[in-house]
Amino acid sequence: MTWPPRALLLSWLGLLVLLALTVGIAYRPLGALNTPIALLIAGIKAAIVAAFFMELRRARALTIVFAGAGLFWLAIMLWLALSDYLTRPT
Amino acid sequence: MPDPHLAEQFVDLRQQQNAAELGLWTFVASEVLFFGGLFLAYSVYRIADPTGFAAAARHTEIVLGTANTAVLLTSSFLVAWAVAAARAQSRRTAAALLWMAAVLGVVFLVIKGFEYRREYDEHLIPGLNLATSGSHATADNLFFSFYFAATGVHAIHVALGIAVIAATGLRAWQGAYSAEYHAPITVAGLYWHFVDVVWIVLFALIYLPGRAP
Repeated sequence: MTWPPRALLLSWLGLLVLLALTVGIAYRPLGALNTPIALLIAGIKAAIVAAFFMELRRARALTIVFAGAGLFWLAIMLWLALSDYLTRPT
Repeated sequence: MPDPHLAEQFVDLRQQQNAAELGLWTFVASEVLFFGGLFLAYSVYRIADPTGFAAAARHTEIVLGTANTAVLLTSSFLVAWAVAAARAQSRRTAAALLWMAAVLGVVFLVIKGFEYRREYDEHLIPGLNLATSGSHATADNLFFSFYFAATGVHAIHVALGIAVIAATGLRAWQGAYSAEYHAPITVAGLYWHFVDVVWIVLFALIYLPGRAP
């Protein structure tokens, strides 16, 4: 029997707290802020999974470049497409 | 004598493990763009009709969705723990944790199945029983087309992950891995965590919009 490393245990508890938090905030009338907050919390949860569960915090620079490549191309796709759709006159 | 797990093109097990991890990360990067196309489509449709999209999203089952998120996060945690156990040479713990993670994957799919069943009963399936006329018909159609495409493709990933995690658990039980050689557990885990991350994003896009009064 091996107990989980403390960092993993805390990550898991943190993820569950963030899940409860994001559901709670979704029911608050914050108008235009609801969506950005939901996406921000999703981003923090994804970062916790990547850093601790996927061990990117201890990864070599080359691994981080490989992991970042996907996000980099995704950012280009979303940026170029949304710079059109978000700026169209209504 | 070299380790029997070492393929001849590598200098040592460490280099072999690094290569395996880089390969999996390359796969993950291509998967990010695969799901990225769906996220972009979602964004474009939601920008086109924000109120209609919020109204459509209110029809989703947030209790089941939240429970499923907790299930998948916990499953991911168990796999990360299994990697730590494999490093500490406790193969039975590693195997048990991997199997528990696979069982939670099955629980996720079962809950998802009940969710689909409810959506069928509530006439929310585009092309099958979703209303094609009415004030929000277009937004409902676009939202639930995205919903079924995204969660369906994600469920296929979960199903494959369950098979991989369970098979890795079996190999761990048989003593195939050691403190030096456990790259298959790490790599299977990376895939499983990626599937978890996709769900974290899908959860925010599908279940949370339109809840505030």
